[in-house]
Amino acid sequence: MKRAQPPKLAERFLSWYCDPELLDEIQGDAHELYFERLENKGKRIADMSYVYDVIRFCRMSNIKHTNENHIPSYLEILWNLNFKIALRNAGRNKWLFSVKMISLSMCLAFALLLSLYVLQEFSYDEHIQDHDRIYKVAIQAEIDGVITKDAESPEALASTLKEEIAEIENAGWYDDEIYNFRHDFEVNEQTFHNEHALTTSADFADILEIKFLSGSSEALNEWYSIVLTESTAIKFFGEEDPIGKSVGFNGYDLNVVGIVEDPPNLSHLEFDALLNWETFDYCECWGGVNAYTYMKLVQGADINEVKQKIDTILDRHKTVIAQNARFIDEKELKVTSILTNIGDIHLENSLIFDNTKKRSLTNLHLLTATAVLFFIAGFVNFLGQSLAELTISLKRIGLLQLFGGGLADHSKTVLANTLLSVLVIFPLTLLFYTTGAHLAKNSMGIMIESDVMESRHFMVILFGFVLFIIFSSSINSFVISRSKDILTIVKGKLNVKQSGFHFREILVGAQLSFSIVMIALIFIVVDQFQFINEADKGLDDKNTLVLKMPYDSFSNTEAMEYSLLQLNGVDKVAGSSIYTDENMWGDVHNIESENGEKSVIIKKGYWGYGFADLLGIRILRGRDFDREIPSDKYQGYLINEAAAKEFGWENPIGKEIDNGHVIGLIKDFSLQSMHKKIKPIVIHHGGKGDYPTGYVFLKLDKIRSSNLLAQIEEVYHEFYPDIQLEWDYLDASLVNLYQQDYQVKDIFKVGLVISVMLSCLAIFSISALLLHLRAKEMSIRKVVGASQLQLFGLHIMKFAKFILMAVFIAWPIAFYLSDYWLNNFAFRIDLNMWYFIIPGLLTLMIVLLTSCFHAMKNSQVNPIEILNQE
Amino acid sequence: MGTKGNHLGEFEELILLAVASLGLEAYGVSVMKYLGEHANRNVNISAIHQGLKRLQSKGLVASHVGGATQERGGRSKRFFQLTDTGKSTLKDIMELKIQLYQRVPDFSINLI
Repeated sequence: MKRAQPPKLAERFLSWYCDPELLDEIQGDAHELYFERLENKGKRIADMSYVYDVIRFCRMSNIKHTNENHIPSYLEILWNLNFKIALRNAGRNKWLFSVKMISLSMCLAFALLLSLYVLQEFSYDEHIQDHDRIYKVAIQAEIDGVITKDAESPEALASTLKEEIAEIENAGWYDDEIYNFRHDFEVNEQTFHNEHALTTSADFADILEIKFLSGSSEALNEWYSIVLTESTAIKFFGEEDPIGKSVGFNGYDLNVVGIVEDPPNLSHLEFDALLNWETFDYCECWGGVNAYTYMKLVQGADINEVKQKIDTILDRHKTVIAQNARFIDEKELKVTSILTNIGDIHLENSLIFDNTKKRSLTNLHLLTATAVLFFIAGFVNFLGQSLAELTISLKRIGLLQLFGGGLADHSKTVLANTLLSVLVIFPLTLLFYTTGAHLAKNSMGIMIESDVMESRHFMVILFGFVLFIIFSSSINSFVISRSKDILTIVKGKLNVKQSGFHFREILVGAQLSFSIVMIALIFIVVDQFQFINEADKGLDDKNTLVLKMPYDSFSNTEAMEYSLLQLNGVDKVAGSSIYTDENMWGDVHNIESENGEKSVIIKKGYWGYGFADLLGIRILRGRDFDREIPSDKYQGYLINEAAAKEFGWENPIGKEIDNGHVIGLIKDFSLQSMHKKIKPIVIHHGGKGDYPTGYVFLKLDKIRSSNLLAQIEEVYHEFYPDIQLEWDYLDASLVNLYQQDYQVKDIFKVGLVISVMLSCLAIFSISALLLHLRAKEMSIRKVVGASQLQLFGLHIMKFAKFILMAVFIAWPIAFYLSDYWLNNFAFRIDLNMWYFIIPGLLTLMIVLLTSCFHAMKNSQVNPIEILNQE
Repeated sequence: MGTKGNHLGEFEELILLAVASLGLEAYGVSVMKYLGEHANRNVNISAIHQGLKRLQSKGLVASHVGGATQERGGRSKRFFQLTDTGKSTLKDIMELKIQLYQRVPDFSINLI
């Protein structure tokens, strides 16, 4: 058996630092102790003590020191002076050096921020320990081929799942619409309006691992119990201990039984309070599709099997669940489940009644691609610059080689340069990063959580960053070591075929194509938003105020609408159930067709009188609901163009729907984001069945008094004295729909500036290099009679090649990325070739402008000075 | 040797005593073990080396290299011995201490 040996690494460390004269005795003693411990205390302890001893031996007096009589070799001088040389080089080109460092650090900081941002979006709900086996259950109803996806599910589902399916460890649900209650809380005669409460049970809190600071999740199962988040508790009760206190809620007296931590920012769900659901008189029945159901699987359960089991359960209850399909043959009805892992909820597409924070995956992919591009561009730039420095200092290196410097040792020169750069870049990047994070938070509303920075993925990115620097610094010495001809090096030239210059051309090409991609992308992104902003939404959203209404019928709100109309400055008033949210259920309508009556599922909305006129929605044929014609209210329907097309009606006026007929065809309009297609829709009159008015729309005069809002609020409170008025300007809330798209746009704007700067720099340094390399050639040309203009042209022409190369790399990338992003919109611009040609031309301009300086210098060269030198 | 070198620290004194009592067998590990056993001082080997080095620079001990053994992987030891100065210094110190100690009233008889 091989004898155990002390840890190798410690051994090597010892012999590395230890003075050779002392090494023998120190190592001997250490070994003696090691083997003794090995016998008495076992290998582990012996190893550890050995390492400890080695570290303790590392004292000044034991460390290798250079002899005072030691004569430094050339290489040592090189090494010692390298840093000084690098510093002096930097000092000589102060301006260039600082711009170079700043742009590079900015680029890296930007890429870091971007990747953090993307990482953050991908790490939602990862704070939950068992997040990989927690799923949200949504319902998909397919009625006669029409699919409706609803984020909500029946209330009875959770308990049934828990009972019947063995693979499900726990299941729970919550609901956020407590009938028509407003979420108003009364504490010590003070009313709070903006708290968001969920009705739920202990199971739900357990599944989402909601942390109780006091009390336990069990308490949530008691009647009249309420659990507050930490910040809400402070808001309600200040410093007092809230446990046992009572909170008024819509006439109920609730007991505070627990305090939970605030939901983390990276959670798909936000809430301020949890209420016991039984208090509010629900039944856990199949008919009420109001619950958001979550389930936790046992370890190792197969999600597909579970889905099948859930689907069989749903199938049993399908007729009760899809009540709106009661007229449809049961065979035509399919109800299945949609299971989404809790981590994916944030990124999945929005379903009907979805109330969670969402993020479009397409945007994230585009940003990821941009981050990668920036990383690459940053390093290409870094490589390019160190290669430039290398090429310029070739002569020095050649001379040093002549005096006996080995090839490998040149890496030290390069390393010193790199080290200097890194020493400057790291703090600068950090500075830009912090400023950038601050700016993003304040001006773009982008928060970056500190948790993300500690995540594994980010560490991997950082590690990649460090690796890249090491790699790019060693590539230079690699280039040098390949050219063995010292003589040419001394002359300051590299053999062309193996030269760094050839490599550099590729680098600059890549750099340029990067800026072309960025310019093209920003053009397309800006154009798309312009397109959406100017696209015909089929309505006029200016000067429109929207009041959110409590649960009250159309007929009841008419009195308030009338009072509002009396205000000076209010032009038109009308009620509607339609707003920017997507909560429009499809409902069964029986329509006339060639083969008699047919049942179809179409989304429906409710309008009051005059709504089309108020919003400027055009009536293409027929008329809007007319107050003068009483039958309109009960038997009149409006349909939009999409619906007419769906039904195949050329002239829809007079066609029968249910027990009435179509009285008007309206132009397609959209109160939703233009990401989505305009769906077929049937409009009923709201007064028909006393449906709830969701919203009251007011058209205001352009010139209105500043206290009009206060007056509106006063009128509102006459009718609803206890309820806080919530209002929006329609145009503002429509813009809000694109908030995350605007974030992308802002990010791209910043990216554009940085990328253009970066390419300017790359061009500048390469043209400086060209000037240096071709000085002699230019002088000779001049001597034999070339004009300044010709020389200028020669210098510029050199760059045409780069542009051509860059364009061919950039176009496919830009096309792929932008097409991918645009497919995300239902209304999108068409990509024509100008989107690609113009960025190419712009880049050409940048190249010409930046290289112009050197071209001028080049053409004005004085041959005598240059040719004199050798 | 400066004046400062004449003063010995407590730990140096212990090492000096250990070297003196170990005779020909005084080297790093043996001194460490000796102090561990007899003086109840468990210190790291590097501290012993440091102390020995300091004593040598003060001229109290001298060293020579030798005695490679199997368990040391064939590496040699550095043995230490008291020099004449070392011996007289040690003697001076001990005498001084005993002399001072005996001046303590009552105390000395009870304890020794």
